[in-house]
Amino acid sequence: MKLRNLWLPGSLTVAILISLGLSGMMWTNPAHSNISNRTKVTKNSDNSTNTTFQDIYLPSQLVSTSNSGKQALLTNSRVNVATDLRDRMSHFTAEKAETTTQGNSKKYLAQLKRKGTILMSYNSAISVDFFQKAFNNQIKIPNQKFNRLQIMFNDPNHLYLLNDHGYRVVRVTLKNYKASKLKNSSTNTMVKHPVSFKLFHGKIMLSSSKSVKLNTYSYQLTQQTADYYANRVMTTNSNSNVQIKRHANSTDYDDHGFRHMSVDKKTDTVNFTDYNSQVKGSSFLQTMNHVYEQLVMVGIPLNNVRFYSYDSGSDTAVFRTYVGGLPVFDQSDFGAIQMKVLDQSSYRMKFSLDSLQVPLPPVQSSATIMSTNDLLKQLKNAGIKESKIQDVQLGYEWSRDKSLSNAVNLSPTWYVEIGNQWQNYRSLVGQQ
Amino acid sequence: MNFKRIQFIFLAIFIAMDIMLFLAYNRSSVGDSTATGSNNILEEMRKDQISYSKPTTTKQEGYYFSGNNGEALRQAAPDLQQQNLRFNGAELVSQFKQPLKVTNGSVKQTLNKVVANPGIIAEGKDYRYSKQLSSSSEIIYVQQVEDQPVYSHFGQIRFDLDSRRRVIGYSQNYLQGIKTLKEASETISEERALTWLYQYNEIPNGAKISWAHMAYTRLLTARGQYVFLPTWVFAVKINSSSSVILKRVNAYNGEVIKTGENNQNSNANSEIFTLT
Repeated sequence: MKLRNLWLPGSLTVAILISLGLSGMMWTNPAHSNISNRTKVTKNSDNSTNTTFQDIYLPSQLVSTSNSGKQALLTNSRVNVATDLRDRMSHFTAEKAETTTQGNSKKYLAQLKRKGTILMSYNSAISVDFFQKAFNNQIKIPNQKFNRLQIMFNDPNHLYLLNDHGYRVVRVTLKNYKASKLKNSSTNTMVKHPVSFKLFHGKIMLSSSKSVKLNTYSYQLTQQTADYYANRVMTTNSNSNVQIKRHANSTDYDDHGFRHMSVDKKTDTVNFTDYNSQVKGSSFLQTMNHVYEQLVMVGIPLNNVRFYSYDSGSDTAVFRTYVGGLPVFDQSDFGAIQMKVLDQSSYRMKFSLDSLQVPLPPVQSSATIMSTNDLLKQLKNAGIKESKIQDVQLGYEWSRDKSLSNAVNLSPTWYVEIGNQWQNYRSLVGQQ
Repeated sequence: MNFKRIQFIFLAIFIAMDIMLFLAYNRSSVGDSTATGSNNILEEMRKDQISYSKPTTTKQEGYYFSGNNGEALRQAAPDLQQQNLRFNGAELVSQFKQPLKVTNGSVKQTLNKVVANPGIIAEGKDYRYSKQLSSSSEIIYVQQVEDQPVYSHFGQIRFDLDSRRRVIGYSQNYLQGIKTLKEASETISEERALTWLYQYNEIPNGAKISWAHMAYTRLLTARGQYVFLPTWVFAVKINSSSSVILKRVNAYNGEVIKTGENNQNSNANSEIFTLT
């Protein structure tokens, strides 16, 4: 009897409470205030997010060694060799690792020349956790530095990590990894150039005993405006206006807070400093993660841009434009992008307004480059001491086309590293 | 008795109010929480009464390639039979000596045989029938490059139909000297391309997307070569008119590609069809 009398006021109370709760939620949440006035989101040309962490941190150089011991530098023709190989060797797990040799340059060189392998190299040492992220695998071995990784066609259970520094070779035992995936990797779609590893004054050098024929490329020059970057990175501090100072050769942007940007009109480069950007840690992976996030934040088009090198001494990472699997030099005096971590909360980034997006038919389809021996001879004749040469590398020279406006020609040539600077060999032998 | 009745009325009113409030809250939260996802944009398109069939989300691979209309057709012309032909620039224009009869159902089968015959059509093996580009007065075969169709009047065979549905002749353009300019790279999905086309305000309210295809179209001409790239081509049919406007989206970066030299617009019909 009592319950029957109570159900009506009871449920009425509940209904009132629910309505109070719901209207309270609607009032307090500003997101729900304008239900019908949603406007279309307009997209400004933001192409940067297409390139993933994995894409930008691909190995810089790929060398295959056949079962008969012939070594070849791999470049792209129809597929991007580096992404193709990376995708084929992802998803393995590993727990065991042992050092097989250390400090012996001869044994190290022999490992580099092992038959039936593919060697993927970075220009600077990377770490195991970085490798894990860049190649999407489950490798659980003590974190250590290495700059090359070697996969075996004939021994699918092992992977070698090599470090030029200290000539260290580490053998990793793999689980659930299918070599068949690699074996039928599109080796016939890759372009091979005969090369071989050599010891050159104690350093590992990839040299070619014969001249090399490489594709030439031509691209339409895409130039991002300074305003685009100014809008993206300089308008975050809402409390103050951005101060713009125009000089003869440059324009400075300052937000009276944490960010400063300077655009050099002569070289079409941007110098951007951010004093309020917290790095999560100082490990190699965390630094590279931070660098990648900042590149995306600034909105630099990254389609053809890849990681080139990292100098732990100066905390500087360099990214270059890559065509056909080889790096482009001379885009600016630092590459495509250079990022220097100043301290835990600030960094300085230099980048070029120019980028290469649309390929054009080249004037010539290929060019022949002289052998390493000839190169070294020419350098010697020009009076350059061999001991000064740190490395030589094949790369592309960036030059503006004289007849076709907004076209960039990329022709292959030798680059020589002397005093931590990459220079075109022609400028060294006085041909320019 | 009276008080109980008042309670009852109040309860009914409050329950109704709760339902209303709940619906309003729910609708607004769904609309805003996924504002960046493409599903929400598709939802918005529905609200704008744009009709489309469910877009695919798979990504493909494609190339940049170059090619031009060279001498291949002129060289093959002497071997072609049963027709009177002439050249209009690089385009081969031909009239059949004997018009071909085609019935509605067998257009494709009949013409496939004609196109496959090297004695009638030069380089016919490189072309495929395109149902979407064909109309009641014109049957269009498009050239294939890298297993993808090329939607461009630079690589097409157009069969002209007369009023009695007989094929009286054709005109042909052939892309030759095809060179890939860059290694294969991943393209965006149809869904991304469609949502970007909408966000660029290229689809008016009430329009219908008749079809969407991944096809190569021309981006620019440089050094005497046409440069093609993979694009998503959308056929947009506006309610008030019967004509279909083709729009193309760069399948690498999602930009809407404009056509024309001075007066650029997003209508790609002149790039894909030859307008007579």
